[in-house]
Amino acid sequence: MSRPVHHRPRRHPGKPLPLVLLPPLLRAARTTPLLGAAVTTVLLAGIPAALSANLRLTDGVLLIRVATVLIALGAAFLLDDPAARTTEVAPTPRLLLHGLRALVTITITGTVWAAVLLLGRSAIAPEERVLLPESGLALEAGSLLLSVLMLAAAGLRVTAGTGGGLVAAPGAVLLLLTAMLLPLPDGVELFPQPLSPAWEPSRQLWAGIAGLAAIATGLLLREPRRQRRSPRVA
Amino acid sequence: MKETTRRDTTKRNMTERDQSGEGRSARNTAEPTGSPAPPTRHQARTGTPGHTRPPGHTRPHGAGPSRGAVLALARVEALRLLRHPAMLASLAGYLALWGYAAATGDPANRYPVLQDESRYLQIPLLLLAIGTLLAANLGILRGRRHGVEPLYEVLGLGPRSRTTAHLLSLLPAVALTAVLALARLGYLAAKPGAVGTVQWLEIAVPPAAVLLAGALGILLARLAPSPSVAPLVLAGLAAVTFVAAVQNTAAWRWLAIVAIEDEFAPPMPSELVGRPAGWHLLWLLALAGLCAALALLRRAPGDAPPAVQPGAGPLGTAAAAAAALAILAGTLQTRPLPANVVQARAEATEHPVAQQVCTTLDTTEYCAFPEFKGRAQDWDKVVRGVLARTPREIADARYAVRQRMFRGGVESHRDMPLPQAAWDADDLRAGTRRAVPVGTWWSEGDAGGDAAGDAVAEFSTLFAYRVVTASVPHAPRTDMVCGSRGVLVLWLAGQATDGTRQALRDLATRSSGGFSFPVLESATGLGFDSRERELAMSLLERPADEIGARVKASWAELASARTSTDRAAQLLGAPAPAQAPATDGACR
Repeated sequence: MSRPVHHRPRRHPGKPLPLVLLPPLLRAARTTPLLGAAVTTVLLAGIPAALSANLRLTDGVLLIRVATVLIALGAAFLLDDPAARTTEVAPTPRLLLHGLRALVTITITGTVWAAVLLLGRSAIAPEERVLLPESGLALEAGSLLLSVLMLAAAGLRVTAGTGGGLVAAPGAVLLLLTAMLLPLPDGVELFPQPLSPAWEPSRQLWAGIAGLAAIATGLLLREPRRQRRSPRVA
Repeated sequence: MKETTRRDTTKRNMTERDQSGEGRSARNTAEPTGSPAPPTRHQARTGTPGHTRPPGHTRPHGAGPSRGAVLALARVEALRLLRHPAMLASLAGYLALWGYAAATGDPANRYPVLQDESRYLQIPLLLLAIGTLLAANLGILRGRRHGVEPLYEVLGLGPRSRTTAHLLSLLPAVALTAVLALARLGYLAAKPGAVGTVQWLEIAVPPAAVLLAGALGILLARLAPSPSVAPLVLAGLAAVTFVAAVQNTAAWRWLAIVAIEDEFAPPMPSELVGRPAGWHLLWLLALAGLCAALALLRRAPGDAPPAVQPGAGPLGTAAAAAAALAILAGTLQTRPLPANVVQARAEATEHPVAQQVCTTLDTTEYCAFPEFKGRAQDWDKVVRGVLARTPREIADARYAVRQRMFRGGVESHRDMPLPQAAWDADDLRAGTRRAVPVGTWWSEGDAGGDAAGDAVAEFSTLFAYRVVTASVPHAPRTDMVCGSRGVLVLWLAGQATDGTRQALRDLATRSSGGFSFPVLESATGLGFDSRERELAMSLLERPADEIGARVKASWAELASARTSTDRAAQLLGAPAPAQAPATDGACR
């Protein structure tokens, strides 16, 4: 009579939990929209750069801004978890899972955006290239991404973790276009031209949006109070 | 009898589905019979619903669903579309835009020019098109999102009929947009200061844009059934619209959803507008038709090939016809402005007398393009306000005010001279020599927008200049009005009405040093130094009756070109402003 074999679960000794979680999270993530957006934006910025289009500064900034919006929309779906209904019972904290997804989102979109910025920069005429406000545009892009993540986090709450992008992508488009159409107070502009008087105030506005969006995203990604009070795992 | 039975069954299926889920949640809607097990990944990919359909079986298109079932689904989907959060948010955004303007007194719209307002209302209503595109796209993807699309196979409606129903469900959103467009126009037309003619073809653009947006949303869902596609396409469309708005003189801008004009250019009489609004409307409708036909032609997984699909032939023909119409309308709308419109504009600019009607109010004759003749009352308030502070012989003299249309100034950034010789000859023939020019913008002066507010300040200053100097600026340069004359002109202009006072104050906040008033944005204009401006603005803060009495008492000296600013301050009982560097301009 042989002794029973005890199959122990596979462990990753010494490996931090986030690193263990990362590969399956990446496999499950909805990366196609971001991939599509990345290809589109790289082409969008790359073609004028390859053709040495010598764009004016304003046109180059417009190009980068359009690319920023597309990348942010593509990133809206990265927080979605198609298996949310089954992973709900796992003991891994929800904040950790979503935090990891958010971190991955920021890393990937940051990389794509940086590539687009470089391409867009080289598409601008050399004499105006030095005037490109990279840090200001980065602030815009970061705020936009955080706002999209905030909407996605809100979407995850109302779709049981599966459809954050369903709320974030249309919501972001609607909010952006409404903000562009709304009569803002004098001197306040969301997308002013570089070197214009409204540029500096708009950076403060974007910084404020980024701060609010970051706080809201953090709060929304936490475990819902209902679930914390009465865990479903008996 | 058989047909009746089948129709009843279909209706019953629809009704059961509606009762089981419609109006509660999207998930329930997509699950018509309780809670079936979710399809496997293979089933979802291939569209085969497990054992419900044998291999090789195709949907019996020949036994198509009844029209009633399609209409029933269309009704349900129409309600869902109107109640969709994207639609509600866009509607709320549009109403917020309107409500904000109304709550702040809507100063920019107290003097609307209806031919321009007919197209201005297109941009805000694009919000509804955005909401419709998103809602229609998500609506048709609902079944897929919830993994129950294969279960639709057991219902009486095939994919094409469902697509038809979704397309029909757009109509209430189109009607809502039309109602909002008409309501907005009615609101503006009811304003006492409204002038001009409604451009009905422009008014029809927002509903057509909503129809196109909805059809595009449905087509996108059929081509790429992912909810991420529509927002990305929408962002691209928004970018195109934005670039078209910046390139507002390029012919290709007409290929965008709305074609924007140079908003700094002054309004024109409606017969001179010359926008190909009809072709643009046809362009949008043809594109909507093309999207709808392509969405209907798009096969769902497992459907019969086009050769055996009934209706594929007529649909293909319809798609080809819509594409041909779109190409035709798209080409025709990008043609240059017709020669007769160019000629008519030039005629109206250089020789407006033949086209204008004149009204005499008290001692002043006002001549305007027929659509703008109602403005004479508004101009007269300013004229009366200026003349009220002048001696009787000045107030009783005869004056003329003539409306001018001059768009060259805006296009050339104040570099183009006025056609003064042609105007002088015209005025001589018409007996309105030294007529004071007034443009087509107007407002009450308070926050009427830069151009409309500045138009009030410009007219009151030009009329005051005419009263004080008995002339109007002619030469293509900025004539400096110095010393006491400058102070008198600015004070008379500012105190004329509450609006002119506000317009001058508003201008002062946007300029430094002195004042500059280019006539109709041309190279001709009047300039005032900072000392004259400072003294005049300080006098405007004091009671007008007190200053008015001093003005009448010392009119001859104050109106003299030889009287200095310091002397004017002394005569008007105000402290003299600090000395400023002399200007190079020629004093008038």
